[in-house]
Amino acid sequence: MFDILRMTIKSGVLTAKYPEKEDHVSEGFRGMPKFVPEKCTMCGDCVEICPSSVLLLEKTEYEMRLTISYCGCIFCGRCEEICTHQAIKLTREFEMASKTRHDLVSIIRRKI
Amino acid sequence: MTIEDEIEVMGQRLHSRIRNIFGRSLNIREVDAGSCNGCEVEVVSLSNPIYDIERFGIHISASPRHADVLLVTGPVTWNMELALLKTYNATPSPKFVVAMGSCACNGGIFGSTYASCGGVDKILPVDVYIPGCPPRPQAVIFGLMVAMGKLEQKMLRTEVIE
Repeated sequence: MFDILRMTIKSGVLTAKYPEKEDHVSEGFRGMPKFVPEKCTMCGDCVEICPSSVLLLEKTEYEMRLTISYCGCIFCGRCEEICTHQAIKLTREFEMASKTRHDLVSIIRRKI
Repeated sequence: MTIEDEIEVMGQRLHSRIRNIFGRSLNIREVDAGSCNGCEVEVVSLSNPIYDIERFGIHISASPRHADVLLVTGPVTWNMELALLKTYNATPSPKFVVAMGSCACNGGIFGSTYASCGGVDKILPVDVYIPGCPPRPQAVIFGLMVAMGKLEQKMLRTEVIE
C-alpha cells in the first residue's frame, strides 16, 4: 500500500493547465491554412487538388476572388505541397471555434 | 425608447440570462450522426486526467433528456437524420447544438451526397462550429468555452482586397 502511495505522490498532478496557460503545439502540427496574398498568382492548382473542395476561385469581369472555407477543411496539407509559389501555409493554430459560418472564411480579392 | 432600443435591451437581458444558465455547468450528450469515429476518440479523451473537462463543470451524460448541449459529430447520414431529430426533440429547452469536426460543419470530405446530408446545419440550428479533422481536445474545450460564454471567439472573417 505504501508503494502505491509513494508512486502517487511522486507522479504529481498531470492535468494540462489549458486554457489558463497557452498550449504550445509541436513542430509538425497541421493547423489552420493561411494565405500569403503577395505570392498568390490565382493559378488554381490548390482548387483542383483540395479533397473536400473548400477552396474556390471565382472570376467576374472586374475581380478574381480566391476563397477558403475552414468549415470543411481536413488539414491534409495538399494545397501547401502543390503551390509552386508558397502562397498558402499551414500554421499551428487550432483555436478555430466560431458561432457563425460567416466568420470561418478567408478571401483574397484582386482587381483585374 | 424606440423599438430598436427595446430589442437591444431584450437581447442583452437574454444574453446575460444565457450566461447565468449555461455558465456554471453543462451536461453534454454526444450524438454520432454517421462519423468515422475520429471525433469520438477525441471526445472520449476529454474525460481522461490530462484534459479533464469535469474541472470546468462539464459532464457527459447518457441520455438526451438530461442534456443541455448536443455535441454532434459526422456529416448527418440520411439513415441517422430521423434519429438526430428525435434526439433534438427529446432534449429539454434551453439547449444548444455544437457541431464538432469538419464533417458536422459542412460535410467535410464526404460532402453532400446520396448518403449524407452535408452538415448538421441542414437539419438543426447550430450554435457553435468547431472545425478540425479531428479537432484537438484543447480545441473542443475552447469551443465549449465559447458556447458557455466564458471565452471570446478568435476567428474573424478576413478579406484582403488588392
